[in-house]
Amino acid sequence: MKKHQQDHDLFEAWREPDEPTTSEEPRPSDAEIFDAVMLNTSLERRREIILHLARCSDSAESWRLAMELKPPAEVVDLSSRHARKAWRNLPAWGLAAAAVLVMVIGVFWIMPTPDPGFPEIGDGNTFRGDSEHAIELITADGLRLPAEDFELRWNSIDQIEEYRVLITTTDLEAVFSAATQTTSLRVPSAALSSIESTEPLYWYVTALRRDGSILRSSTQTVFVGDQ
Amino acid sequence: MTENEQAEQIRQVLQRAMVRICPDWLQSSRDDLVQNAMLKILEMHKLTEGNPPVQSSYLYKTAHSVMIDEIRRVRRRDESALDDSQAVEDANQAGPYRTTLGHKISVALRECLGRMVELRRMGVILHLQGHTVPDIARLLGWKTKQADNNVYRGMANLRNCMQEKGFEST
Repeated sequence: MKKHQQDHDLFEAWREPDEPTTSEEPRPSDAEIFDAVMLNTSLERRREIILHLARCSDSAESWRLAMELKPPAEVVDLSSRHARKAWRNLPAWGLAAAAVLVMVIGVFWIMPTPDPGFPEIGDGNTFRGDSEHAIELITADGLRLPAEDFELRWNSIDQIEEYRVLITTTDLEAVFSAATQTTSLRVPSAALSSIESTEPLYWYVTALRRDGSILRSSTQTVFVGDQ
Repeated sequence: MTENEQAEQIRQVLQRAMVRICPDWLQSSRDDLVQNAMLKILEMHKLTEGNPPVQSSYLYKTAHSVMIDEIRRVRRRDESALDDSQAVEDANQAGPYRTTLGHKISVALRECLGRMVELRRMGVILHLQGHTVPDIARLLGWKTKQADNNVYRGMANLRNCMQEKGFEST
């Protein structure tokens, strides 16, 4: 509890404006910061900009604003789709061998580690020790929901100010967004009227907490239409 | 697509972008900001029939630039208006202690970050900015496990450093 109170204070302090810098260090432009957030700069330059954020609250704020415009990361990651196609081409014996390998690795993976005080990663979105604050989407990934009863659900987070839900098309055009203090959102059918039943929608939840910290869920897919 | 249709499409994308980034205290200026962004784009791009459409990413970048400029402009204006009696009254109600303490913690936090090993510092900065671990890994070109380790250890370093400086949560 004390640790979380301390983190709360740190998040608040991080957002405090600092003194105008007097150093000679050149400040990255807002356009460059935007490109860095969107992964459109070299890795080296991105790292320089990230280190600069600790010395310049103005740049840090510009970065946070650009974060709000960032498309869901999973949308641009096509590797999982290619991986799925690759599995289809494998012969049966290959699949069986892979399944055995996965089981063996799984057994070792779930064996207790020698250091019980070293907690494991939570849901993959939060770092170790912070898993109790993770947002999990309860609505199953890839689920089909009728337009008249299109309700998205997620788990509850403590000390919540509000949840923000964003639904986009695969072209990242926003379909619907809303803020709520409950852990579900019913989307008006009118907002979904132009969506084809074969068209996947992406959605995620951002939680704004009273301490100023922000948590984000993973991005999942949902379809409009009857089962 | 006609010039008018192109302009309307651009406006719609800008409106959606502004909805996402506009802070509550600037909501009343949102339409003006969309218009500013629109003008900025039209200065750079001649919309003529047959020309390729302006990329959404460019529109988002322009929306970001217009919004951050406006946020800074309003802040500067508010700061320069501090002579105004209402502003002084507000500042007194907030209490000089709270402002000073917040500033001191912020300075200490930045000093602690400056002392930290660079890899951990980058992880912690992005964590404080609100990024998830997979995001941090992607931005820094790390594996997820590496991002997790650096944030976990960096945050532990930061808490210890802040305690050493006398900032302890009650």
